[in-house]
Amino acid sequence: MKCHLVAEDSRVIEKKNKILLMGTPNVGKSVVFSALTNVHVISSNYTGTTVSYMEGVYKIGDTEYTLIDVPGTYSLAATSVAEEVAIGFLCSKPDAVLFVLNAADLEGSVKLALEVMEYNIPMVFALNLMDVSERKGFKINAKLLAQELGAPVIPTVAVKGKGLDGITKAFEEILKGEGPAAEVQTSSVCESCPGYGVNGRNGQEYWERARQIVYKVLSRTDTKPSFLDRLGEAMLRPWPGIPLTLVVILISLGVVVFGGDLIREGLLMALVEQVIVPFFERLITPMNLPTVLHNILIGEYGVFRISFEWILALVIPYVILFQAVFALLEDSGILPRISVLFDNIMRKLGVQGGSLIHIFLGFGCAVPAIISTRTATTHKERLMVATMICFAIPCISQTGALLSLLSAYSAWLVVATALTGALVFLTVSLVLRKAFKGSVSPLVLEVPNLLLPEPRAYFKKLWVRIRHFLMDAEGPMLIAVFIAAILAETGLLAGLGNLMKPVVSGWLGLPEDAVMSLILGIIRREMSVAPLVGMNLNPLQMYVGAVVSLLYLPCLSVFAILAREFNARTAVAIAAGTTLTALFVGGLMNHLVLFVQNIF
Amino acid sequence: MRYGQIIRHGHGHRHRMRHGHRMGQNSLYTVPDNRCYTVADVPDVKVLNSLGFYPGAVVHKKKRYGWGGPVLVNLATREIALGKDIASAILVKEAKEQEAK
Repeated sequence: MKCHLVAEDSRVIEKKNKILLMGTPNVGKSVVFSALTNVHVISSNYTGTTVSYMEGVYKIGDTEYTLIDVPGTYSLAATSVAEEVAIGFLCSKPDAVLFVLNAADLEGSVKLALEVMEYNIPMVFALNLMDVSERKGFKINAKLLAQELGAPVIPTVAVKGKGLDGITKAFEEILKGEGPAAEVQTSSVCESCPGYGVNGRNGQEYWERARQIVYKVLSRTDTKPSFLDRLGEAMLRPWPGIPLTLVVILISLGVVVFGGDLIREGLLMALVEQVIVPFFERLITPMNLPTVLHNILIGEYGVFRISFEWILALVIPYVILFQAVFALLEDSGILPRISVLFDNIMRKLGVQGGSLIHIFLGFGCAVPAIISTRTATTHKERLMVATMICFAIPCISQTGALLSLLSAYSAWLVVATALTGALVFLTVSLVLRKAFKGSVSPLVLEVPNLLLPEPRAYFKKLWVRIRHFLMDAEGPMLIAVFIAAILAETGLLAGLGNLMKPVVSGWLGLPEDAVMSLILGIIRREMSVAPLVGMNLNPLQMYVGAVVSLLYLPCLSVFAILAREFNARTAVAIAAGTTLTALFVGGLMNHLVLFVQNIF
Repeated sequence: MRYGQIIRHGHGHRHRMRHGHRMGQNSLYTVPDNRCYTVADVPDVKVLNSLGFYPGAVVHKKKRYGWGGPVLVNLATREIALGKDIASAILVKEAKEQEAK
């Protein structure tokens, strides 16, 4: 059964000339992938499963092969979706497997290799992370290892491009004259849809065999731990790990916030106000359009004004900087260390340390964060983390917008808003912990080595992500801008403002125009902040506006993702819950502060 | 302790957590830090098997984090963090000798 999961994506399964790129997680497969293929596209997610994979064109001799970056797994026991996907690929008649071994964790990766070898597909081994392995004092006899595994073993340092030519050469050798013979052999293993224990072996036997092989080929020398190793160790101890982590987070936040502000104030605002908007004014004014149309295009809320003021100047700089910093944290191996250090607190909140990675991702955008929760092992954990992200984790464009608005008033407003958000976050998690049935699996996490990210691979990844953001978010942002322009310039806003007056002005204490925030926030989160610019709010109104925006409804894309990943009922419940919380907390704080002000 | 008050162990019979340990066997969570242990019994959780936790495997317990935090162990050349609830369910014996590689 498991084999056929992947068959749904027949486009890839039916492809001829496939080479699978396999290995354990964190072994540098993606780096090998980027280095071997020039074109690289991120393929679609599987419907209903979690894991996305990449495919690219890999030229060996004169033949073009499709290299498929199979999700990293620890075994082929079909215990997770990633493993099911990997098994599915092995059963899809690939021509060969490029297996990336971890020279710094040979035993674990040889064990997985032994499982893959059961499928009788021609293999080439890349013995990657040789530099880390040497750093740790391991000496590996690659020739002997090749004998043991019965296939070529090429030592590589993929991030530095070392040894990659050798892989292509080895493939040229083994694929010469390879015909359908391999296919016949593979299908015989696949008929039974192997899950646990192909040929009657269980995981323990693979481990024992792997241990024997490693015992033969690996020797250790005593080396002094390098600076990175010592730093990696230190970051795992509460002292100095926790302060170091906080420093890293503060620096990251600082780079995003101040860097974003610098780009916005110093470059983009000037560009928008002095070059772009005047250009469109000069272009549109001579057309002598009817006043309403003219205003919709270039009036105070005109499309050609706010699309640049809001999207280009308020959102984009923060998003790009966040992605740059987050990718750096991801590649360095700092995030798993934070998960370990704060597992105890997260456990008390009803989830586990690993959930922090999803939550950090949520500070970028809730959509990928909610998709990433698919790796959670229980439904309760998934639902909890997704809900926590929707309630009180602002996305980066919203954070950027909020910070630049709030800091214009006072740093204390930033602190007050953040504290209010944190308080709501804690309350929500504690309530959810009791409210949802089921259990949350405890943390089980391999701590990777601390690594310095390699520039080429890093920028490639960053570019792919930013392009994705622009492609996915640009549409909804422009729609929001259009709606804003039409609402504001046709007088509809005034009408809606009147209608919502009891809530917006009476309860929240905001000007009637702020109803725009509530409407646009439905489309994109940061768009609930943007209209607050230029409303001349007093500090209390600004704080209330920020709190409402922070806690408000997740945007349309998040709603759609929730409906797809869970169901429509969950999406509606979360949307209603967040909206009510936002209005309740916002109004409560408004009246609380007013009440205190009246006393003094 | 919400996580599986009763956890099924490798051999199919059930242990109540924190009870029913056989002689000389203790949970990985409670044994002292900075020593090597032989795994005696592992709950039937697939991800543990995938990572190499089997009866007979030698683990080095590096440390236990306070306040209900996880346990950090070295298994072969891997460093693995295990949450309190799952570490409590792994039974270990003191390793007799440092099994050299």
